[in-house]
Amino acid sequence: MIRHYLRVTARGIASHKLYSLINIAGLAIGLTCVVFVVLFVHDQLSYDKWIPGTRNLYRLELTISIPGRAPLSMAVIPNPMPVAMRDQIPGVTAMTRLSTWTKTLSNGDRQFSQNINVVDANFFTTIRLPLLQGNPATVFRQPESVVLSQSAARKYFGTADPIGRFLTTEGYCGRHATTCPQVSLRVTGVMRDLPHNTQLKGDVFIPTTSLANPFPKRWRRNWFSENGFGYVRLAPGVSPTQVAAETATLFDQDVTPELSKLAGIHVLGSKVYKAHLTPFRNVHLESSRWEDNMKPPGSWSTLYGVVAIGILTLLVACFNFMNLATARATLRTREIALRKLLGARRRQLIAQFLVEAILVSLLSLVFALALAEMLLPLFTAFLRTPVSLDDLFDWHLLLVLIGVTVLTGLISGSYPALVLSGLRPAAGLRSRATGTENSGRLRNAMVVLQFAVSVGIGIAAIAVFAQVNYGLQMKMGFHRNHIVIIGGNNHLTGKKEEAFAQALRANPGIISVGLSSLVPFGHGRMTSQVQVPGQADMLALDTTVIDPDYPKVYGIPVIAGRPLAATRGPDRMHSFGVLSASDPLNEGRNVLINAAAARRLGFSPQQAVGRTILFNHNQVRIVGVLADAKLHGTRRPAPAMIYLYVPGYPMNVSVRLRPGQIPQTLHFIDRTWRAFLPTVVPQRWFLEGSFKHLYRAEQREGATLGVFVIVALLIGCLGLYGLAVFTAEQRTKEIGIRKVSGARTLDIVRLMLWRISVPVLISNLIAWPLAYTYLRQWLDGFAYRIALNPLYFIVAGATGLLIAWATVYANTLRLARTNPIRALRYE
Amino acid sequence: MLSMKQLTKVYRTTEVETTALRSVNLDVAAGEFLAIMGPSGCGKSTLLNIVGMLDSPSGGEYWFVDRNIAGWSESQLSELRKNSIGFIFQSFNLVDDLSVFENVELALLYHKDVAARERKLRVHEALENMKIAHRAKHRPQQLSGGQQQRVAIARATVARPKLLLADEPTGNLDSAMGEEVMQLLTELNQQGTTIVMVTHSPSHADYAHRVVHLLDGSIVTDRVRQAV
Repeated sequence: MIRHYLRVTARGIASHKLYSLINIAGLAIGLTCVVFVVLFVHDQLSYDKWIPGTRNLYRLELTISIPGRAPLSMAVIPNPMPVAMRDQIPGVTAMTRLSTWTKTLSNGDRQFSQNINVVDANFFTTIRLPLLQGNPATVFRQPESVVLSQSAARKYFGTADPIGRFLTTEGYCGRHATTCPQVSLRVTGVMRDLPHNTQLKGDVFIPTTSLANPFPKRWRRNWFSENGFGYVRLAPGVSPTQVAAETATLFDQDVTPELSKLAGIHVLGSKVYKAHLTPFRNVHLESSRWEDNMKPPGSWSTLYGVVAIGILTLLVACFNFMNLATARATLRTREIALRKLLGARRRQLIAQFLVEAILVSLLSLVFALALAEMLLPLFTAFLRTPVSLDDLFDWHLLLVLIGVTVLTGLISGSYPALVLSGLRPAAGLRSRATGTENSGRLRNAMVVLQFAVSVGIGIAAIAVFAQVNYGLQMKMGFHRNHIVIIGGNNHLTGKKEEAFAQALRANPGIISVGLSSLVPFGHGRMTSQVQVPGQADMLALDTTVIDPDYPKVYGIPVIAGRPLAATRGPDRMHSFGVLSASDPLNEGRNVLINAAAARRLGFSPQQAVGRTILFNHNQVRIVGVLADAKLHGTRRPAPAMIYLYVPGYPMNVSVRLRPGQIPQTLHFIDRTWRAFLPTVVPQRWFLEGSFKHLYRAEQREGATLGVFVIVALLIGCLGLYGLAVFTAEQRTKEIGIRKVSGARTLDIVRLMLWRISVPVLISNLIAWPLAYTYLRQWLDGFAYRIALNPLYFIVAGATGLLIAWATVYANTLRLARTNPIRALRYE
Repeated sequence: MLSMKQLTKVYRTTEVETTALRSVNLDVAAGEFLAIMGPSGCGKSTLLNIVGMLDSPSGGEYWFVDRNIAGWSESQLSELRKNSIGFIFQSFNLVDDLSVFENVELALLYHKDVAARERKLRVHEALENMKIAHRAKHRPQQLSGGQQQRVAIARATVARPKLLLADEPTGNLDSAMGEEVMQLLTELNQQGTTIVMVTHSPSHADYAHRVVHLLDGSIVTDRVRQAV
């Protein structure tokens, strides 16, 4: 019997070519989406699963809720925390830490700026990344050791065996040292390059014990700076929630005194700090709530979203199939009636239709795989992950894919199977019976659903791009063109920084040079405690250390009071500690704030000027108010900022270039840097470059939606076209009668287009509220956002309608021009 | 073999009630060749559909070989029908996508007790009997009308039904082919198959032993012909 079904299916495909083409093409496009969704999901779920022995391994996170400031949730933790947990919480059997620093690493005169992971000596035995050379247990036995990835080894040593060779880097030196000693690191291991599917990144690992560890010693025992990642291993059966709860005791004991001493906050440590443990293997998908992850995390909601879009697309393709199958059924009623007459049971007919649908689906899967193979380069470029179709030939993925395909067949075939198998044979055999009124209504319903999906996603795509565009056009309150930033933190120390800036100012290609601890679109954040005398509330304000020229470089205007000046003694602060430590030498100095900070303090800009406030418990005076700068783009509001001038504080150098001679000027900057720091590679980037990356996530989201709109529309139109061709045959007579009664071609075309328009218009009724709800929520994630313009909805709906018209127009016109005699002769 | 008592059939739509058959009494003996005649709309087809168990009567009794099947379920009827009745139509009703052989085979496909091997043999035999075996691999559309109707008769008889129902079997054929089909039906009847045929053609009705005339849903004449 199955062979009979196979044969009937094959013949059906061969003898109804247009119908089969539309069906198979629709399903193949839908299944191609499924292939990509499966690849994407598989890739996302594969993160870190390949690292052995991670079952009881957890990454630590920390939420800090300082009174008066929004809680901060971070994937980075204070350096002493993992050690304290291992030593004081039973059940924690091991810990290891990792922090990343940028240093200059050289082999002879081959010199590179390099991200270096400083790790505990047990790192490779706790997180068992595969070493190709070297013993994980002993690679860091000596402090001056380094483990390189394969590609780093190639970069520094070419094809030579790197083991036992040396790399040099600058050693740690205090803030006021003039020269730093060079440290030689011996290569003790080679690690296989980290694949993309891990939360970790890095090519060079050195132990914390090395002299090259740039982590300032005075911060290493400190609970107030979160600089690195911590991982703990728990004994089997120990609950991570329990361990997290037990950290409260540690925080009470160690954090409480520091809070009180440094921040003047007199509460228990456990009220401010809350620890969290994420299973190592889940970090990739469960980290979006934490800031400062090592790599941008994925998320379950993205995963579900992608799966949902995949299912929607596939459903659109299924509707196509159902629609066309029921339309074609009108041509098959005779066969069905005959089979019934010859004794076919209803369930046998149902089986036949389902087998047919499943076979067509499986055939479509073959085409889908071919299509996926062709589109794969686009897909991997889009996701920036080297996913390969070979991954599919993993048997359980293949099984999933075939399962989905069979299910698609079942869903697609179910409606035709149920409806057609219920036909009464007597009717089917006599006349050229047409489909029942019911199936026509159902076909319209499916067109409605198909277009609802397309229009809905279309609205979302338009709005996402509008928001991105808004971000790109938004006035940010500062210049960003022709600004180059030289990352100087930790390298240019003390007076050298100012001297370097001075040397740059001498060049005619440079308009202005400013120093600042933070730069726009950058990571990192410093806050300080600010209080208006007489008020009880302590406020946490974002803090940037600058030099007096910084506002000039970025063109941030002074809206009240005056700017800081290098020549005025009281404009200089003595120090600024990230620990919010007070410093008696800061008493009576001057600071700037911005308009947002003035508002937070309860003043207008004019009122703020001349006020004395408590800054980290020292009295300082506000001498000027700068306009707000939207440093983080549209996502976050312009921060309420306090600006300090602290000479000698490690800062980045921002240089505004004169257009027209930029290459020479850049060359000059590099030369000048080398004169100051011959052993350190300059790190510089254009601000415009960081700006371009600012909305990358949104741009990709928009592009993803765009792709799915096109796919959904394509499938929907295929179906609409097929339907138009099929129903045309039924309508021939009706049109003939209308024409005989005096209708012109135009009237007929108008009538037919109206009939197509009704379901498309109804689809808008479904799509609009859904898109509106989704977009409202999406836009809530932005501090600066577009209003939902009704035009987006109208444009998406109208485009859907126009495309629907275009799809059926040619066919409609041909039909409308038919000589009525020919149409009526069929009777 | 067949016995209909006070058989009525009423079609109802929301607005109109149409009586297609009024108290029809009809007995058909095994081995008989019965022709039903009458103008369009007189109820011929309705009667044939009820005889063929494609439709159920609104009232009265329908005895098929000693069983009153009025009120049987669809699946019971389907089972009985597939084993006892063969159908021939004016428009042949062959499936375009299947070959001649497969069209005939269709009639045995739903008989679980017929094994594949026997099925092939019987299909072949039926095609031989209808002198159409040489076209077994062709598609219906490649055949002439007469040939198509022979395929249809092969299909109707391959399951060896006791009763053959023919709904204007010659309506779409020219007179020569019509004669040929009538000859075939006569042969089948002589071999013992009971035949009930609806026809418009008096000359073709002459092949039957007995002719029933219907008018407005009632039998107006029931005439047994003398053997020629």
